[in-house]
Amino acid sequence: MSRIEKAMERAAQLREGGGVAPAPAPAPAPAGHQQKHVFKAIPSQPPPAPSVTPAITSDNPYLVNLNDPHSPTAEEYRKLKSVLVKMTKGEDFFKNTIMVTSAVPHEGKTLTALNLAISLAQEFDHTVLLVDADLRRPSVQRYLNMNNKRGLSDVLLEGLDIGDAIVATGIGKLSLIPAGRAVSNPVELFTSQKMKELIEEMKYRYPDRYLIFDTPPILPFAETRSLANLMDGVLFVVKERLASQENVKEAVEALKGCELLGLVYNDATLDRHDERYSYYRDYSPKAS
Amino acid sequence: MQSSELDYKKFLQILNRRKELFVVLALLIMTAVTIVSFVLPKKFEAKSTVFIEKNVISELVKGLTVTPSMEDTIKVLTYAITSRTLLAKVADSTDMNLAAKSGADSEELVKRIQKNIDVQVKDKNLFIISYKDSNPKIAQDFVNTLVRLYIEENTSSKRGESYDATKFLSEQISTFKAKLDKAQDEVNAYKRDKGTAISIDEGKLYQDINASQQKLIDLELRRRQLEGMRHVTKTTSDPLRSKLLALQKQLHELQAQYTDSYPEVLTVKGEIESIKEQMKAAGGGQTFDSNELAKVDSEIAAIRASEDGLRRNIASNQALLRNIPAARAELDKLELERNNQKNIYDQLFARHGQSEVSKQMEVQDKSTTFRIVDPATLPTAPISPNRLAIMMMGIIGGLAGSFGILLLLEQMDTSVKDARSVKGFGVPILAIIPHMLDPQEVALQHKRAKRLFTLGGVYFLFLLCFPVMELLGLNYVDTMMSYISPASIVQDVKGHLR
Repeated sequence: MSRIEKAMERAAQLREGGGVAPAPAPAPAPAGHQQKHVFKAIPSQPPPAPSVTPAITSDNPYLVNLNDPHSPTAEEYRKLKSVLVKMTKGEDFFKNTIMVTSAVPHEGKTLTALNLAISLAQEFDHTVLLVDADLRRPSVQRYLNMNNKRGLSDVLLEGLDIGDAIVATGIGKLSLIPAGRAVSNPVELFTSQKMKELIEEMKYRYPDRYLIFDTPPILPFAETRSLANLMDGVLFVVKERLASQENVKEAVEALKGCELLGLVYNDATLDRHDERYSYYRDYSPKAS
Repeated sequence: MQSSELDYKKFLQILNRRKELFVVLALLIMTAVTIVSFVLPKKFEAKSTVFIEKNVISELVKGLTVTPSMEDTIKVLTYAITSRTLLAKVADSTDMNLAAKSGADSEELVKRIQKNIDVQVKDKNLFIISYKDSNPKIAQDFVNTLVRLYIEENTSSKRGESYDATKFLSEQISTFKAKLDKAQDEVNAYKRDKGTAISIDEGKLYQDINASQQKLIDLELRRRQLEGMRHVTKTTSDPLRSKLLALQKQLHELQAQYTDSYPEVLTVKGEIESIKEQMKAAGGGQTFDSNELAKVDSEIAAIRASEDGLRRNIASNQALLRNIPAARAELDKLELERNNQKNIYDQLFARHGQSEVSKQMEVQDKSTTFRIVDPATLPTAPISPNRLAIMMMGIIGGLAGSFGILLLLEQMDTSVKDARSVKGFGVPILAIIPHMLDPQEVALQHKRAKRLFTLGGVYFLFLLCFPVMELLGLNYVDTMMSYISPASIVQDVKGHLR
C-alpha cells in the first residue's frame, strides 16, 4: 500500500510541477481504485494531452500491442491496422466510424477493438476514440483495469456532454468512452434518433479521429444491426471453433447493406513449425 | 504422403485439444468393461478324455472275425455323441430337463446342449469331450454321463449287430442247406434214371457196334455159303428121282395098256429096276445127302437168328449213342446247380463261423473298447468370460473408443475450424490472429490437467489391479460379489418391507 501511495504522491507532484513531465509513468501496476482517481482528473484537461496523463498499465496478456508489441500476434494486429487504414483513409474521404462485431458472444470483439485501437493510437498520425457500445456486457474497462461510472449510456439518457464522457488512456493518442451505467433497454436506446444524432455529432466533432465501436454480437441482439447502418465500416470477428459456419453465414447476411470491411479470423490454431512466426520470434528484441 | 502426415497432425491436434475429455472417456469405458467382465455369467467347462483302444485279440484274429473298423467308429463318434436321442437321454438322467415342460422346451434344451458340447479328436484315437455350463457340477455330471451312456450304447449296439449278423447267417445257411439237398437229390435221381446212358463209354459202344456189324457181315457170308451148298445137294438127288418118277409114270401108263409081259413094259421095268438099282447104289449117298441138307438148313436158321439178334443189338446201341449228349448236358446242368448251391453254402458256413467268433468277442468285450482315460473333474475356474482378455481389450478399447468419440465430436462440430472455411462468405479476411496464450491461465490449465492426469493415472492403476488379480488367480471380487448377489439383495429388500 505504501508504495502505491508514494507513487500517487509523486504523480501529483509531477502534475503540479508544470505539466512537462516525462511520458512514461513509473508507477508499478496501480490498483483499479486508485487509477479511477487518476483518470477522474483528466476530463478537465484537453483531451489531446496524452503525454501528460500517466499511461495505463494493464498487464492483461491479451493486450499484445500494449504489453508484448514484438509478438507475432501484435504484428498481425498491425497488419490489420494498415489494411484498415488503407481502406478507410483516402485523399478525399475518411471513413472514421468503424464497428467491431461478431456472430455470437465471446468471439473476441473487445480484444480486437482494443488491440486495433492501441495499434492505431501508437502511430503518430492517428488519434483514436474507442467507444464501448456493448451496454449489455461492457468489458473494455475491465481489460484496461479502469472503472469509470459515466459513459455512453449517460450521454444518451441524461444528455451528458460527450467531451465529459471521454477518458484519456495515456496509451498513445487513444481515448475512451466507457459504456456507462447499466441500462435495461439497450435496443431502444440504440435505435433512437438520439443515438443517430450522437454518432453524427461525434463524427463532426472529432473528424480527424478514428471512432471504434465495440458492440454486442449480431445474432442474439437487435441493436447491433441498427448501429451497423450508422457506421462507415464494420469489422467482423470470427473465432475459431466457436460460431458454426451457419451462424457466421447468417450474421454476414444480417449485415447486408452495411459497409462490411472484412473478417478478422481470431484464435487461429497455427502450426508451431510455421516458419513465418519463428522468424518474428527470433528477430524480436524481446526474445533474448 | 503429405495428406497422411496432415491427418496424423490433425489427430494429434484433436487429442491435444481435448486431452482431459479423452482421459475421462477412456477411463469410463475401461471401468464399464471391467464391471461387465465381472458381471458376465461365468461358464465352467468339464472335460473327459476317452481313448479308443484296439485290443490285442482283434489283431490276432484279424481276418478271422469281422469287427467294425476304427475309422468308422471315429467318423461317426462326433455325430453320434451330439445326437438328439443321446443328449435327451443324458438330460434325462442328469435331471437337466426338469425345467422343460413342453416339447419345444426340451428342443431348446437339446439345442443349447449341442451348442455347448465340443468333441475334439486327437491322435486319431483320443477324444476330448467337453461341455460348458454355468454350474460346474452340472458340467461335470453331464460330461461323465454322456461318455458313459455313449460307451454303453455303442457296445450294446455293436453286440446287437453281431447277434443279428450271426442270426442272419444261420437262417441263410438253413435255407441254402435245403436248396443244396434238393439239388443233390435231383442229380441222384437223374443219374439213377439215365444211368446206362451216362455210364457207358461212347468209344466202347462204337467198337461194339462195329464188331457186331462185322460179325453180321460174317454171318451173312456164311449163310449164303450154306444156302449155296444146300442148292447143290438138292440138284444132285433130283435127276434120278425125277427119272424114276418119270419111268414109274411111264410104267403105269404102259401097264394100263399092255401086259406085264409086253416088251416095252419089261424094258421099262428093267429100266426102273436099274434106276432103282442105281438109286440103291447111290441110295447110300442119297440118304447121306438128305441128312446133310437138314443140317445145313438148321445151320442156316441158326445163323439167321443170330443175325437178327446182332441187328437188334446194333440198332439199340445206335439209339443209345444218339441219346448220350442230351443226357450228359442235363446232368451237367443239374450238377452245376448243385455245385453253386454248395459253394454258397460253404461260404455261408465259413462266415457263420467267423460271426460266431465275432459275437463271442463282442460279448466278452474283446474288440475295440472305449477307455475313459480322464474322467471329467469338477472345474474350479471358469473358462468364460476370459476376464483378463476382456479387461485388456477394455483398456485398448477404452483408448480407441475414447479417441473415436473425440473424432465423432470433431465431425459433429460444425463450427469454423479453418480460416479457409470462412473464405466462402465473400468477405475478405483482413487478418488471422493466432491463438494467444495467457501464461497465468496456461499455468492454471496445466495445473488442472496435471491434477486430472494424476487422478486418472491413479484410477488407471486401480483398474489395472483387477487384471493383475485375475492373473494371480485371486478372486476377492467374486467373493465380494457373491455377498451382494442380486438374490440376497432382493431378500434383504423383502425383509425390510415386512
